Amino acid sequence: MTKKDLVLPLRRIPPLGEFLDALQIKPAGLAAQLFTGVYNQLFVWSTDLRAQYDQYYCVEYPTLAAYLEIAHEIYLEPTELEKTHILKIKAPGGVLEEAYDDNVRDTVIDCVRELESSYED
Amino acid sequence: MDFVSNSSSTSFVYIAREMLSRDDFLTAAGVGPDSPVAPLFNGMFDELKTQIDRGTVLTRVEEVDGLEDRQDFTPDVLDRMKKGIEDGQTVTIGHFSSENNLAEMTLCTEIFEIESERFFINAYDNYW
Repeated sequence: MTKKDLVLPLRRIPPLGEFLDALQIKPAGLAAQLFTGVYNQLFVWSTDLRAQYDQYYCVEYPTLAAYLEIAHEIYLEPTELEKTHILKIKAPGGVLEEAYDDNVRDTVIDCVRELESSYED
Repeated sequence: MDFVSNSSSTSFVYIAREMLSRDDFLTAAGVGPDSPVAPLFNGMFDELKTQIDRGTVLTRVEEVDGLEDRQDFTPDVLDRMKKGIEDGQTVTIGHFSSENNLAEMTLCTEIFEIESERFFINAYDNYW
């Protein structure tokens, strides 16, 4: 895993409408167009490493944690390892691109975490 | 590994009776004023306004005809520009560059159209 990759352990993948709502973005318009792209990067085009492990790599690695650590250099807390989805987003781009000072990566991650914690409550 | 990148520029047209306001832009883009990503759209508004100020105002329908060969705009948008001139609206064409900041890079790499009762922006022209 490179520094630019993003890992999101989540109990539930939020539906697009909920994601846009949380960002206070209306469903049509330039903002929706841009952030549907962000949604796709995070939740549609990402790789679910837990699914990959369950489907293929459980034969090769004794535990999910071992698979994540050895194959991906991803080190998660036990609570994160319990999540239903462990999404790996390779070098997020566009408005999440860290090369730009004014990127919204942290803002979007905070929003996803808030959605996750509201679901857990 | 060497990294090679090319720059890109996108033409846009802005048609309106008066200068774009921040509130109108945010409303038409569909982002709430208290949205956590509103700063990004504020930045886009600033870039757009700067590029409109630097743009070329077309005052004659013949000038729009001259754009047809450049393939910067679709026939529908060219018609809309002509109609705008005939209706006394201000028709401004300008360019975005992807090399400055995120807000302008985003405007440059997205294919978009923003329409409200007060203005029309089209940036469909988009090639690398």
